[in-house]
Amino acid sequence: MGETGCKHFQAYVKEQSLDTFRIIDAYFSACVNKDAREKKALSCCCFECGSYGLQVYACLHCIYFGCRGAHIATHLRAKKHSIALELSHGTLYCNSCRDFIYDTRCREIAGVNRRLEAKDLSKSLSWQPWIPTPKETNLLLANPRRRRIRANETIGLRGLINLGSTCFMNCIVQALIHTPLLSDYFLSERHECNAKSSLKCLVCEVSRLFQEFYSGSRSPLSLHRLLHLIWNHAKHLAGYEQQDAHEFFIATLDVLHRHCIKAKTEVESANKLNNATSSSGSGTGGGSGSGGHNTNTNTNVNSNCPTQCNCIIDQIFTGMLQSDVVCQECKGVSTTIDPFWDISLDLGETAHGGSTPKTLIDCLERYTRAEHLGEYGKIKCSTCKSYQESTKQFSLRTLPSVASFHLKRFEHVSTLIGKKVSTFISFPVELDMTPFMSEKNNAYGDFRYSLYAVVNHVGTIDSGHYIAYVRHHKDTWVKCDDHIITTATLKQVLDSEGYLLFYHKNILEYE
Amino acid sequence: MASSSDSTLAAANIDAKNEKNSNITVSGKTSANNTKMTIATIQKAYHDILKDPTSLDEAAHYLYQSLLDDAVVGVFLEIHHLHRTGNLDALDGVPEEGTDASYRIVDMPNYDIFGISSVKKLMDCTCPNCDRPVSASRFAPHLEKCMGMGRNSSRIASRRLATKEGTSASSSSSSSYLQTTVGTDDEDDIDWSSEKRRKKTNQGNRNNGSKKNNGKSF
Repeated sequence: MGETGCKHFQAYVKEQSLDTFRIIDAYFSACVNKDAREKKALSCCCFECGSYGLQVYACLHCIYFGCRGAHIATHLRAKKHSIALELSHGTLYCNSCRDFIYDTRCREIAGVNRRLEAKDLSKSLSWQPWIPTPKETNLLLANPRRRRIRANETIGLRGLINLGSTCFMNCIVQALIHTPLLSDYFLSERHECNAKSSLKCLVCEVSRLFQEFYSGSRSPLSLHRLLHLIWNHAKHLAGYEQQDAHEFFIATLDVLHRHCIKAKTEVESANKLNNATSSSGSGTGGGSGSGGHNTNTNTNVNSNCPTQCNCIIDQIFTGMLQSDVVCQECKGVSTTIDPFWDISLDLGETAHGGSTPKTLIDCLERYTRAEHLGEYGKIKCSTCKSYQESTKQFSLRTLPSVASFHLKRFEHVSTLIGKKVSTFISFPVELDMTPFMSEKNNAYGDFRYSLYAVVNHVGTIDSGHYIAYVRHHKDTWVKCDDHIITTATLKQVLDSEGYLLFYHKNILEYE
Repeated sequence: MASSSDSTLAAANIDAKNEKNSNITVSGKTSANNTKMTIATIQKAYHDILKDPTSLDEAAHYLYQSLLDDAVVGVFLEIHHLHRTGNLDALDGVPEEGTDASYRIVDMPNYDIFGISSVKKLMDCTCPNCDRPVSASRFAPHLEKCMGMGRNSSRIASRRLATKEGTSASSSSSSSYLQTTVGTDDEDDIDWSSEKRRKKTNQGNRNNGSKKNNGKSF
């Protein structure tokens, strides 16, 4: 049973239902569409003083707006009305109790309206505080001890045993464990497993790893169960020989992602009935019949990108790469957009000569430069109806919360012969990705990123070792060399060769 | 909170606008006046504010104050709600005891970040595929063979599978089988403890070689 406001509110709902609340909230608090925004702009001011300030209350008994404090209070007292709605945050106020009150059903209606508002303005959902369920409250009260995570402490760090040339896995696991969004997800136990045995679920295993890392234990951890699960789910990785950290990283994301899709479809089929009833409720939320329309667009988006299941892996790691092919004859542009998990960057000389890249920015500029496909790379132009010479250019349509870059240090001349490119490529701590976006000027959002993990390959292509530098806290870096974790300086990190670079978005939008 | 001064400020702002532009008739008081307001007049008023540096400055200040005020109310409401539901105490909790020094980061040569000397320790783990204790440092090569990959391994794996099925996967019978038949052609054999060796493991003094084992397996 959720919250039910106060006895005055209950009496009010009995008499008037929640319809007034729903409409007032949709128009004057959440402003679910253009019409609502206009109505608010034109009529939502204090009936006493004419103020348009943010802190305006609406009486839920009659048509009356009043400023916080004396103006609304005088009205409520004079008319013997008790319930008003604070419009800026959508909080209910009871004048009989002289207090703010909270009602679960109203919060659900308000939630629907806020989502409609965000959708209508194509902006991110505003922040909402975590409201523990009664069950969670009881758990919190029953387990009052809290482990504080402090910058000068080792909580969150664990060495990883080398299981026999498994340093590539250890490095990727260290990078993943130190991904802030991923640790938020797993430490708040958001993964609900439907697998018959959690021992067979890779996502559960990752969840257990997070518990191990934050357990406070200082002895190194063995990832044998993880290795077994990954080999079972990604046959192409299986085998003692496999040693490329990048391949392992992508395969791990893929396996985790596929686990999430599977879990999601299972949950969806189970909740289908529940969803059907709740979505019919949301239709009336806006009071404008826009609810049905919104559900339609939603399914369209999903069918357009089948790879995006909105699982935690997709939410964190999936970005969209735009490829524009321009026909040199008619200048017609054909655009395709594909999802990506990371960006692989060439380090060697370009085909047309030119200087070799020296920095990550150089690599990215080269990656997003228009490339002439040449006489032998003609592409059929849909406008000219014939094969024409064209240029091709990549740009980033959307960026993931974690941008990871793979510096192609291993060149394969043939299937047997390869060489390692050890050129020093400098990479920044703070990276602004704005110049590489498809819509540089009118793209919504902030594209600044911070470095948080670097995986390095030491040695030659035939025999080598992987180590990782990870950011433990804001200014604390550590070096992870299998079971040995030691402190590192930022200079050490930036002076290292760099094979895989992990950047985390600084400013995150909600949903 | 400063509600009265806030609304006065808002009213003053609107009055200021009215002085500059007689078209805007926002005196408040009666709602009838509001019908005269249109989106066009709001937009005009907005552009007028933008044009005049003094009014722009004033408007920016007013906006900042309103947003700040609103944010403070937001925090207040959040805490108020937590208090009402009893979650304020629930979330707070009490800090863990006696951890102040023990988790401190160590930065000394020859020691890792936990203050443990960085000498490699031997550990055992239980193979999830065959449920036998395996030396952790040799787990990957073991698993490769155990899962039936790499050279010789498919033969070994299929043989073991056959044994498992035949003897209802009882560990003692399969281990004795391995000891007698597969043992010789599998270089990883030493990692698979026989029944005798496993007993010793539990006492903490087994290993494949002479190095001491901490007996931990998980």
